[in-house]
Amino acid sequence: MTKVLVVDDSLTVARQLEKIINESAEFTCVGHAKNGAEAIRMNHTENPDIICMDMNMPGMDGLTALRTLSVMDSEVKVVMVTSLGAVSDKLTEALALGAKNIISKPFGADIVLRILREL
Amino acid sequence: MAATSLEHHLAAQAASPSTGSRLPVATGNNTLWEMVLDLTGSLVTQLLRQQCHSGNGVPISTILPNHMVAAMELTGDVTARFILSVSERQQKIIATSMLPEGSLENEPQEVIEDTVLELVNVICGNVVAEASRRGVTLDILPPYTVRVPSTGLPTPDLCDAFTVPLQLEDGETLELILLIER
Repeated sequence: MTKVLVVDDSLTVARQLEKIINESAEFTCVGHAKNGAEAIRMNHTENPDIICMDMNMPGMDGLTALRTLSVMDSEVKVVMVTSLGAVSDKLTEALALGAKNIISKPFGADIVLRILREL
Repeated sequence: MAATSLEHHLAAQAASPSTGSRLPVATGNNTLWEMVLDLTGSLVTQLLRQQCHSGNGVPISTILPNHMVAAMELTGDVTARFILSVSERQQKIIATSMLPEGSLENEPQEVIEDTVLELVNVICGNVVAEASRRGVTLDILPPYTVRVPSTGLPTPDLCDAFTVPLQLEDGETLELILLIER
């Protein structure tokens, strides 16, 4: 079972992603972090294979956390979750930092699972 | 990179005729703001799973109190505040549609309020993306709740302020308010 950590300050998005992940046969959600700092801590404790991380969060944002994770853990695959679409400068930076793909909001289960399977 | 829901959404939007939403002629960047109204209607339709039609903008000088007023700042080439004002019933409609369980039983108020903030976040994020495709650079700040006093909140002097009805298929009308800096 592939372990997925969800990182989003929005309880709504976290719940949406957790349900999609846990209802699949291949993935399991190992936790929910509310900002980048929590994500880094939970990457140590939960050792996820994939992190689905929001771009804009209060405290440590997704890009800053991605920068740290790319140095500390080269194995974890990070997918950015954003409503800003593929045209954002922030997204270009995230991909340059090693993010594997994006999940654009609003999302459906089919798109989320397809992106996770393709990693 | 895989095709995303946004790309599908924008392709569908491009293929569809405009809903004809209009702001008063005096507003600058009318095309941009009409895109905001049309995209808002389209995304509310998708997220609440019922048809939403964005109507015409009407100038206002006061934001009236309501059960919840959620806002998000748009900055960059233009500066504006996107505000969604909802009644308690409308808040429940939004929460029921946005939460995967589809039921609000035992849900804390914090979670229900978060669904409205997230609706605003998704709309404004998609506005930024579409504006970028049109050569307009925008950014967003995190959404927040506005506390409106019972007497109402005067709109800032340096802004053009409009209220736009978002008419839902079930008869409810959400209120979109745009404060556009001159």
